[in-house]
Amino acid sequence: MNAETSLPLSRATLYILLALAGEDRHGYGIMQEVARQSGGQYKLGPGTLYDNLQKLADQGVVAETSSRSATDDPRRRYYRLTGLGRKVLAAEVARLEAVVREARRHLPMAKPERAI
Amino acid sequence: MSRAIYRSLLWLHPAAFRDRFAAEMLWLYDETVGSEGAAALLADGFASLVRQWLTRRLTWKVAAAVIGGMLEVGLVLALSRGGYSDRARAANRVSETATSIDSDGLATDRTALPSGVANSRMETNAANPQAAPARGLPVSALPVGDAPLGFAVLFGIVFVYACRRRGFQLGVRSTSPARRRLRRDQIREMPRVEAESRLSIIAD
Repeated sequence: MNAETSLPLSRATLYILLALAGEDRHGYGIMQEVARQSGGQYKLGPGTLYDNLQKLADQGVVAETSSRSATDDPRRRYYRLTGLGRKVLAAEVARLEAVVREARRHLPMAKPERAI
Repeated sequence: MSRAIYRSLLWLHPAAFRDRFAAEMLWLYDETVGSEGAAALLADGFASLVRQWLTRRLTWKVAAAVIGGMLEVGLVLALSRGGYSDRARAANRVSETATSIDSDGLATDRTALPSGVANSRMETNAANPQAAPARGLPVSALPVGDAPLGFAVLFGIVFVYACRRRGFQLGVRSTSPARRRLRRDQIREMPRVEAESRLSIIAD
């Protein structure tokens, strides 16, 4: 799979990859991180999460990892971003940056107010 | 109650997905039902169920291909026989005769008609001259004969058998539990092996 061929990513996929970019996480950790990153505006359900995780694992973008502590619930599985996953995420971020750049050029945007 | 429904939804997922994620999804359900609400989680589980069966599985695509292939073969064979079968032509003649009887109210050509549905239909029309005349072909005159249908069924059986030989499940468990377990483990290991090989390539 080529990193560019999978673009653009769906919203769920983008947030899952972003959540895994920092560290390995289990399913519940991914859900919490997605809610935090989106400021609570986007909440992943378990069905959407694992449906996407299965697809991403099949594509080799994420992988299951064996790192877990002794106190962890045995049902918890940790997931990590693979090298291919990092490339896909980087390509998507570059695409989004180009979109934002283009939007700024054509749309009159209010300048953000400075904090006093 | 809602937990039992959610468990049922998980049970309805494809076996490969269920074996891999169902326990963890149920654990997540227990963790989040208080904050998210049961209705949202049930809706999410149902959406996942639909996605798994419709977009991630090959089953419906194979079924659609089989049905489409059967229809195509049946249609081509029916058309290659000149459009209508002999039975359809006979029924067409009957329809025309019945229409002429409607116009004058008398069954003058009764001996020329075949027996069965067409006869009773003609009698009905003759008894009630005010009834609207029959239009089009009766159901028995559809342009699909027995031979194309048999050929299409045979084609479907051969296709399904070939699919199963190639390893497609088609929603039917065709192998022993031990072989299914082995295949599942192989499938589970595949992404990891592939990812590790890719990572080693990147590292090199």
